[in-house]
Amino acid sequence: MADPRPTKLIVDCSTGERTVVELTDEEIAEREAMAAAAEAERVAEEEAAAALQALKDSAKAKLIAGEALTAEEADVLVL
Amino acid sequence: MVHLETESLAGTQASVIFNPISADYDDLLLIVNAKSSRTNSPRDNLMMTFNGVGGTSYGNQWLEGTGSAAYSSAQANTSSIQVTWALSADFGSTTAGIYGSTKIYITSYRNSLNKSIISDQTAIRNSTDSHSAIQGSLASITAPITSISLSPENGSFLIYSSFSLYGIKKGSDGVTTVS
Repeated sequence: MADPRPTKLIVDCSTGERTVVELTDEEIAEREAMAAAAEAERVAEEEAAAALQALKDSAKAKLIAGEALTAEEADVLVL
Repeated sequence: MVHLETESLAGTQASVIFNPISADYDDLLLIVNAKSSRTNSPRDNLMMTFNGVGGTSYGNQWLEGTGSAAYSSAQANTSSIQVTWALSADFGSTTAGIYGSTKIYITSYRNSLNKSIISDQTAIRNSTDSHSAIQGSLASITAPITSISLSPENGSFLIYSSFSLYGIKKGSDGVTTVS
């Protein structure tokens, strides 16, 4: 059986009446696009955070070992 | 401050819309305690529009605290106001029964100027993880606000999410307090 179509709840502040209405195809498409964009943003943020942490770890290891840092590694240590 | 409506969801809803809104007040206050069905993150954004207007009518700037770091960020020309980290989410390690908390103040909602909105919000995950933000938003809408639409950025609002709307009226003589 197909999942039920998502609904929206409309609250009429003049009467207190509540009405539940199924979303249109256009509204569902908008929701899916918004969620896809949010997921892409989340993945990009996670990748950026992981890359930054890797640079910091590498810079720290080289400092301890007395090795030369790359410019990128130096940037994460010096503002 | 006058209580206008409270809705506590009896089931899942993709959106909650207050429409129409009384024109008897000066400002509006919206209190949201809600959780989204998002499963790939412990928190979610609350998306808000007025009068069914989308396009590029909105912008916002916010300060965000994660408990271990602080950030600031901004958006412009968006199709809705992103109330950042206003919602807890149905993520695996989110404590059951925990909902995000948000207070949204809409100033001069009936005038013919663009509308300013201030909000503070917290998306709680568990006893060791929550993100909070304070935010200023602008709606480039000069018409009086007659409806407010709320939806999570991902998925739907879960059962028991609640939404309360209040009207605030100022005095007309600088002395009288209007309740």
